[in-house]
Amino acid sequence: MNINQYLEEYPDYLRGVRDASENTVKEYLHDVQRYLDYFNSHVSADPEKFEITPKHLRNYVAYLRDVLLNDNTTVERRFHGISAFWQFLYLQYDYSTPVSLKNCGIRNVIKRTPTQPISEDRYKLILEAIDHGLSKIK
Amino acid sequence: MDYQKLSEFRYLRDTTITLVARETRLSIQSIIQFSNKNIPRFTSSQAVQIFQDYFASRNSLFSNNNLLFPTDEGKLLLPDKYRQNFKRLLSKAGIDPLALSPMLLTDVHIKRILELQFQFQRPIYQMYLAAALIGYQALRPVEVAKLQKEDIHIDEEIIILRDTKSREDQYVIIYPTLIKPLKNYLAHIEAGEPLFIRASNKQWERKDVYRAIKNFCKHHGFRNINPRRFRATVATYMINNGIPINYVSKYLRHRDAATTIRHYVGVVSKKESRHTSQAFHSILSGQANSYHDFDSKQADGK
Repeated sequence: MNINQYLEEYPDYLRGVRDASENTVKEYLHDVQRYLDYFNSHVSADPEKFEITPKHLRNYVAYLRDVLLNDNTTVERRFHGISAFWQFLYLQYDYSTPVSLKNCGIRNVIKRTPTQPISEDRYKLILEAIDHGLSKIK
Repeated sequence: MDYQKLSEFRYLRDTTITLVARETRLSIQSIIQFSNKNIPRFTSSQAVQIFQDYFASRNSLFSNNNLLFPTDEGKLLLPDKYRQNFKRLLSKAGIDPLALSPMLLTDVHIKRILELQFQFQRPIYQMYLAAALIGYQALRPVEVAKLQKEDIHIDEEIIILRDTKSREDQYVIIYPTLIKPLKNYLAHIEAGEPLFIRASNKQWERKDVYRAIKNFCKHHGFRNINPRRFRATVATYMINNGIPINYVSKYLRHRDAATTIRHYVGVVSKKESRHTSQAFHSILSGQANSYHDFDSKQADGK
């Protein structure tokens, strides 16, 4: 498969089919590019030999964690763009069926901590300071 | 020292000296030696207003200084330094600085100098407005940064938010205490102009909102605050004070109330889980028949 040709079509697919925002397009393209860089340096630099397989993804995740010291949140982020690209190849070019991170055998637990609200007393003090500042606007 | 405050102070100081010289015909040499007790008398209301603004600015920066018109370092301002500043002021106001002394300024000149005041105050106004839009309205930083004059409809008391997270235009009702300051602020802004701009006249970006909140917190001594926490705080405050979740959801502009529950109801669970634990204990130990019974007993106890 010629990766360069697909990479050219991928942004249009994201915008047109997945209704992705420009930020998402940019990020997803970046994710694929990072995977491509890894593939070129660790597997094969030949664009015709590019492929996405569970085995390569496992190695890529290991590379992200061990070499680049990425945390699980970043690993998950990187995977989003690659998954969407895999899905694009599957739908448009009958490429192999996409496999989720979990089904690739990769364990990736993320602890999400909700944003802590400011205490009510402190919040009121902040609002007082804001009101004081607003009163100066003439 | 806060650069924005200092910049406004310099403008107000030099404008006040100019107005004093023009109205009293005293020499610059004598005006710059005024002490705190030499409060000049003005004939025009504009001059009185500028002096009041100057005095407030001076007192916030140099409260223990005896000089009425100190330098940035709190020292005696030299006449040459004033003349240099005066020329710069005229140049900024688009007035030819050659052969002009404060005494020769016309009313039109003064008007143009006074119109500069907003330029110097704008960074501070922007900081408070951004904090208010985030602190009261729970707007997202990027939504604040993108606001234009046309998006604020004071008469209808709404703000139109363009290209939001859901990629559609949304509106928010302007919080009551924000109406007057927004109206005053908008009066200084040209049509089609962004609400918030950098010193380079470019429209703010998301990071500028973060910077403004950081400056606001630094200025007022609040630590560990960022724009994200404001949105969570507004939601939590509303939920804690009994505002129905669908109303809170509408206020935060969540398409689905489940989003509000998922992100913000969990946050209040520390307080609520203690209450729930006490209720459970009361029911098990026979002190209350039901949760409502426990709740009403608690309310009576208060």
